Amino acid sequence: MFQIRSICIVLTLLATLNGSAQSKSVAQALSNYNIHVTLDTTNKKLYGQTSITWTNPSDDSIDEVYFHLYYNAFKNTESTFFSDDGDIPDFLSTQIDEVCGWGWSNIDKILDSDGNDLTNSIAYVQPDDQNTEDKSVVRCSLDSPIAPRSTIALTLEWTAKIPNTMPRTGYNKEFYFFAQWFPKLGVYEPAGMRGNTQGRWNCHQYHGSGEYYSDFSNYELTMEVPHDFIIASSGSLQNKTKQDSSTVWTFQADNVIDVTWAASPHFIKKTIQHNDIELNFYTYPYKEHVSERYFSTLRFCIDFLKEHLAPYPYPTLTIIDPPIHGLYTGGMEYPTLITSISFNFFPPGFRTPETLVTHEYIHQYFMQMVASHEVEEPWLDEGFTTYWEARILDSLFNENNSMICLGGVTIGNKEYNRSEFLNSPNPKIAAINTRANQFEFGGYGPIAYNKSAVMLQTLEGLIGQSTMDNIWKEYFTTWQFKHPHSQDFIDVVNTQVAKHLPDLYPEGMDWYFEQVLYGTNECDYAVASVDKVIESNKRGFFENLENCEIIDSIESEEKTFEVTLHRLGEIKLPIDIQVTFTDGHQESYQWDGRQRGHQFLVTSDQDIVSVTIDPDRKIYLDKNFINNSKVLSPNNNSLSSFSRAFTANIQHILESLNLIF
Amino acid sequence: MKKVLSFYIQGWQWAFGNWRLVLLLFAINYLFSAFATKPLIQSIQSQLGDSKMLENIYDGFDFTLISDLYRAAPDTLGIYFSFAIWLLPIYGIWMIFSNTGTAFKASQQSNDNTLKSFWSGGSQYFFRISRLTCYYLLLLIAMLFILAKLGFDSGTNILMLENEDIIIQKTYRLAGVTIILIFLLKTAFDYCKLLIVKSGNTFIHQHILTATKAMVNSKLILLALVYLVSLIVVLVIFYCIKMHSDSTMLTTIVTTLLVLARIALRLAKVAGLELLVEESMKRAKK
Repeated sequence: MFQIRSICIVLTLLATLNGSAQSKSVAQALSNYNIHVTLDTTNKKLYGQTSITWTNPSDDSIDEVYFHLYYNAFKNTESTFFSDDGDIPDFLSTQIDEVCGWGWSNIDKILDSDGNDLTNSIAYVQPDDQNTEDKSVVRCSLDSPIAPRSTIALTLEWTAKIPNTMPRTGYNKEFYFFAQWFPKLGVYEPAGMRGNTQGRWNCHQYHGSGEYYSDFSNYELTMEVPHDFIIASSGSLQNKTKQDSSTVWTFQADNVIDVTWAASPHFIKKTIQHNDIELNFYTYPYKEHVSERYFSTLRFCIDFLKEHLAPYPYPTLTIIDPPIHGLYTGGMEYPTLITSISFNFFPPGFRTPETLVTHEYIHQYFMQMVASHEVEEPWLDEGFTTYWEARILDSLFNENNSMICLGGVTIGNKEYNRSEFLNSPNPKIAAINTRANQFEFGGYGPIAYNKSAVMLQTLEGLIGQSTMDNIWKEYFTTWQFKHPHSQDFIDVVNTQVAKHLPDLYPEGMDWYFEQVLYGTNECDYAVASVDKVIESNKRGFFENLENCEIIDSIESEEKTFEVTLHRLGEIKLPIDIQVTFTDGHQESYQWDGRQRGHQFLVTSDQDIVSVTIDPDRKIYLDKNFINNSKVLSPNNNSLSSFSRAFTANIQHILESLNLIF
Repeated sequence: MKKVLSFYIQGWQWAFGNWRLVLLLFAINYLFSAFATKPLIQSIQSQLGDSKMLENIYDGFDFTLISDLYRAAPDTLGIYFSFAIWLLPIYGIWMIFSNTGTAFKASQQSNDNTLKSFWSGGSQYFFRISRLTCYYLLLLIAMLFILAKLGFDSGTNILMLENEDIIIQKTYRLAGVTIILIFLLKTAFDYCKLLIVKSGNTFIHQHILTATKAMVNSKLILLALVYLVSLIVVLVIFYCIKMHSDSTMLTTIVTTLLVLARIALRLAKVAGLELLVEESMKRAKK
């Protein structure tokens, strides 16, 4: 036993060293997976053998381990995956019953390093919802506990039935995509980690939304596939050997939280080198032309995040654009591998490929390197990623057309996020820090993605981009290859704000997060009125108590205006006010935004042209920009022009009807 | 081809000669458009009022403005569309009347630039052409329904497709077939309209049969060519609009001229077709 353990520890160290050599940042990989898997394309099955070594990161003695068996989410309609989201989308489900496209995963045998067979000690558990039909988590009791900081070795034999066109994974025709496909250990969280008071296993069932939370591991992945199949995988290709009936491909991926792969005989591959990174693009031949759109976008993303966060540390990045019948796997992030979606009928002005590839690449930082918990705190990766997506794409293209630029219709990424959140059926449906599986009444996308991004955008507006960039750098540096939670980010924000803006926000930014992260209130400020103050004559008894007097007001060159602002929403934020005068000069004012209303006087020898709240649109959470300004003498030229143009368009439409009648 | 071009040029000459009719049709078209636009503009003005964002409304597409406007006044577009839908049947009646009047005036082959025969022809044949329009619309709807069925009922599940080029090709093919069929149907419809106003018969079914027969003989190509030239001109007009959309004033002038040109084109097309009908009738008598 001692010998085997020693060998395992040496192997772990070697693997860690190997990982360090390959990647530029050093991670503390807690586990090593050596997976050998055979793809049976006839029976649509995977046969796997996995050797795992895992180091107990705590001071606790641990007598059980937990595994995810994600494929069991696709076992039948009763799993939690489907109970959460109702049912499989129609377009995915049409052929499932015809071809029995359901999937499953089963641990056939599990041995510890002493050769003890633990197979009979495994039991399905449902830590989230007690749904006994859900088999996506399994607990395995150990014969002997794992001592603090020591390492255990386990060997698993397992089989998986590959589902047909299930969300994010499965096969269709000759396209195979394997995501969340192998038995994977849960995360043991020692006391103190992510706010835990005592050590515990964190291993959620597979839900419809939110996938990731895993230890950093080193993976050696060996796949046996038919000769004509080409494999695209996480990590770097180490070896490819032909055997009698199959080809064996070996990949190595170190310091990652997951591995994913795809296989098809129809794949074509294009490779470019950017900096020290090998970018591998896999698609079907009819989509080859899209490669340059992906490569040029990724080159920009790599450089942008290198400058703003840190260099991408892995030697490879694989991009897969699946064929149309593999659409269900598109637009997903996996460590060192991302999938996108493009259609040949999308015109170039429809920037879906650029948007997706940017979004999924950012996930390499927030989800993969900074490995927050996607089920428990989805905003920490989806929200962060959506915020960075807008920053990158608005820089790459233009703030007004980074998402769509087609026939005069332009939509920017940042403004799209705001609209998705505010135009959702109920923007107050849940707070940002809601768990992915607890958006019972919807709103996961608008809140976890879009509102989070808008909230971060507003934070940036309040504290300035320079401080925000310092926050991102410190947060990333502190938490890369670790598992932070929300409070860790807030702590970094408070530290940086105390350092750079002590006078502006002496109390830190907790007040902000309390309102926007944990609350559902809305933000809306408005200019209620701008009135010229007319000094009226004084009338009544003054010096002479016998006679009424009328005292004329003193003529003055100066004019006084009374500006009234309203806070219509519940969120209280400090705001800037800009007053523009007839001679073009502008004056700025501030309001702490806490009262329901605010009035101030403006005195000038010029008339006021307009008053604008938040002229730089720092408060991106403001739900109505229309009431943020008031013009004293509105110029209707623009509306007249719009009216003329609109009338002319209607004239053409009416005339076009004559083509039919 | 020479003949077709000659008819078409004569058609244009007739349209220019009848500039009063062109102006009348333009004026009515403008009134309908202005009437349809007014509630939307009023609503925008009441919502944006004295906001600075009002200044952005003509500066190009502003997604944030539209999004905030939609949220601040969610009923704006709904009210507008319900108003526009209410206006459409009235415009439909006017279209039938004006096209009938135009066909009648063209069938008179006189060069007097008055509107007398337009009004009288429109009134006299309105109900007959309305009936014909109903048949035509029913046929058009049935045809579109069948094409949609054929196009999208077999294999719309994208997960069954090898690649999306199949969808693209299918869409192109379907669009091509639809345009050609609408094109033929419309030609027959116009042909039939002219036959009705020329003969003065109240029994229109006989003319529908004649027009349908005409579609399967040599006239088809000539008629189609006349129509095709019209369509190309329309496409060029749209291209011109796109090219001149930078300056407000220029856009207004160009748009006005283009609407006028499109109305003249419609008249020229009917007049050209009338010459063709006339010639084929003469040939039939011989």
